Amino acid sequence: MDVLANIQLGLLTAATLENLAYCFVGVTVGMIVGVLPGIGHLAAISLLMPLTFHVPATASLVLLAGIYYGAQYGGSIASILLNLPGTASSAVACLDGYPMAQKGRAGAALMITTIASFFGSCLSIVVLILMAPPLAQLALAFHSADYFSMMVLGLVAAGSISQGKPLMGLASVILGLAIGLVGIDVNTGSMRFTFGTPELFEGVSIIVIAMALFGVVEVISSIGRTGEGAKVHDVSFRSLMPTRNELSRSWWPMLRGSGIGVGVGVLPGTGGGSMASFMAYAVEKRVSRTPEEFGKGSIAGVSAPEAANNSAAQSAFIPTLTLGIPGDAIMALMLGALLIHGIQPGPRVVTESPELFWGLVVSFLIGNFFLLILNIPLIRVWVRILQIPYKVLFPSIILLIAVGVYSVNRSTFDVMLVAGLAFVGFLMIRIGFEAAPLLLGYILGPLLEENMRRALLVSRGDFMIFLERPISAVFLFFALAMLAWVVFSSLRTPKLNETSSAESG
Amino acid sequence: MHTVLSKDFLAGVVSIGIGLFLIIHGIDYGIGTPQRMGSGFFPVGLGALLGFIGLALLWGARHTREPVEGFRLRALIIIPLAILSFGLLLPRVGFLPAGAFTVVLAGIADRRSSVPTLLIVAAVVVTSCWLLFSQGLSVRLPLVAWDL
Repeated sequence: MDVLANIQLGLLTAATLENLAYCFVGVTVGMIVGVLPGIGHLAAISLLMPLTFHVPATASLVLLAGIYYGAQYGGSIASILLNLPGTASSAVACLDGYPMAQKGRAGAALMITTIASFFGSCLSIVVLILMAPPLAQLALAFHSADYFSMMVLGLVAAGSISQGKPLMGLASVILGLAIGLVGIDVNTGSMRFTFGTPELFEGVSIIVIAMALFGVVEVISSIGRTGEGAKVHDVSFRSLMPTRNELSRSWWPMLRGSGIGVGVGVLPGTGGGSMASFMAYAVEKRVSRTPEEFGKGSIAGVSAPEAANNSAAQSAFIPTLTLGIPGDAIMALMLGALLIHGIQPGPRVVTESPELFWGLVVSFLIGNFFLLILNIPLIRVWVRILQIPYKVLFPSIILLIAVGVYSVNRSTFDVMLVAGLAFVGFLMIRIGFEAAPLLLGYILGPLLEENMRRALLVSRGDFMIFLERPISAVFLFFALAMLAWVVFSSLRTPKLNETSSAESG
Repeated sequence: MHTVLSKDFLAGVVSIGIGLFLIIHGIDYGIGTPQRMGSGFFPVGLGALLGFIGLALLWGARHTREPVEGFRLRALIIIPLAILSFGLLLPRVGFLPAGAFTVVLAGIADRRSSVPTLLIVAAVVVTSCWLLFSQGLSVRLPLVAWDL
């Protein structure tokens, strides 16, 4: 009964004209940006973050989330038609989607992608609706020591399951935590790392960090690399219909993919679709009766990862909204949007701002429905957008970033800070640092310090409190296990490199 | 030869540097006791962790020879410069000239772009940005100004 009441509340919130409009704008913009080559969804969300300052809290989350899963849909279009993945998660869609396009089945591949995305999202939303309230209830009993340890686990996971070297991921997390320190220390009132600059008293804005590290850095590294005038396979309306055979061979992969997506999405540090879609692809290849077809245009190789990708995108909201622990950089940005509106992320969001939580959840459903109807009839428009040359696009993006940052606080200091951070950030990313774990650290930094302070105050400075509380101890155990794995694997890789260089040399 | 400038070596040096920076300033802020953490407690802890990771990276860098990948210096210099100039120009000359300058400057980060094309792009983008932010979101953006 509770579930129904919650959904009703969500419907009431999400179905207001205002929120419907934001949802529509979000998914449309997300779709467009997802299609555009050279802009990933992280860049897209960062780019549009300033808008959230000007709209109410619920609307801003609906908007940002819409951009996110809209971009997931859009990304697969670029992958299938151009073999140009906009994001890591849509890279999998290239593997079999592009060969299908070459065989003249681009339309069917796109249609299956759309259906699989919708299916995966819906399944995940159901899980979200059922799982979130009990999880939040459980988390309400958490003590500050438990919170501290949970965040440590989340951060260690985010650092070690990063794309590059785990050690560098962890270093990036710590760097992010340090950046989060800048500004007034709320507990003692003293300034930290502000160096007398009044603009830094309130800390470095999340918008500045996201814009610099995800927007500008991405532009700098894409310039001159993105090809132009790529040939796009034309898609006629007729070719959109998958054959009966293609459809029937997609159902099971879709279901398995969705399941994998839900499971992977809720784990800390793995949010976002890329790991889910790679796993789904690997599983599908393993269970398939015709594994030799994979990579040559197998329909299962398109539908399973796509379902996984989208269901992970939705289920990643479970830990983000109920525990306040973001699984990846995108979820960290969502939390940032909450913080901007003065809402403290954590289990209380579900109980104290139910209209926000359930409104957002229902908006997922509505947004996915929008995408379903947007995607198919407008396929020609998306193909046209694909052909916009990057050299026209990126100067526009740069201006949008500059104005967007300025619009938040009407601060030219912030604009210049973006320029500086982007320059330094680009070089640091070149030597192996990573932006996503850094952002997670930045978001969780103040909470981590606060909970540590409280826990130690209660225990009179005894660090054993983190081990004496069973919940906390379990989290720390997992964090430690993960660290041990990192150390083990980082000790092993140099030797591998050595043998491979010896072989080549 | 390559070992000196390998990715891991540089990353290790940078980590240790930042770690020391955090520790030195953290001590200044006052560490306090665990029961009553001072402002410097957390930064010093972070600095120490980062320093250790840096050492581990250096240790690992003895064997790896992964060089830093090449990149386009032109883009790295011009793009931040374009954003910086927007910040500097906006209060002095207004949005129209500052925006147009930023678009054109950013555009020449790609060698293949031509200034006339960029001017057209600038006209379109500056206008739509102004409509979006100034009219749509009511952010005060003076179109033209002269205040050096």
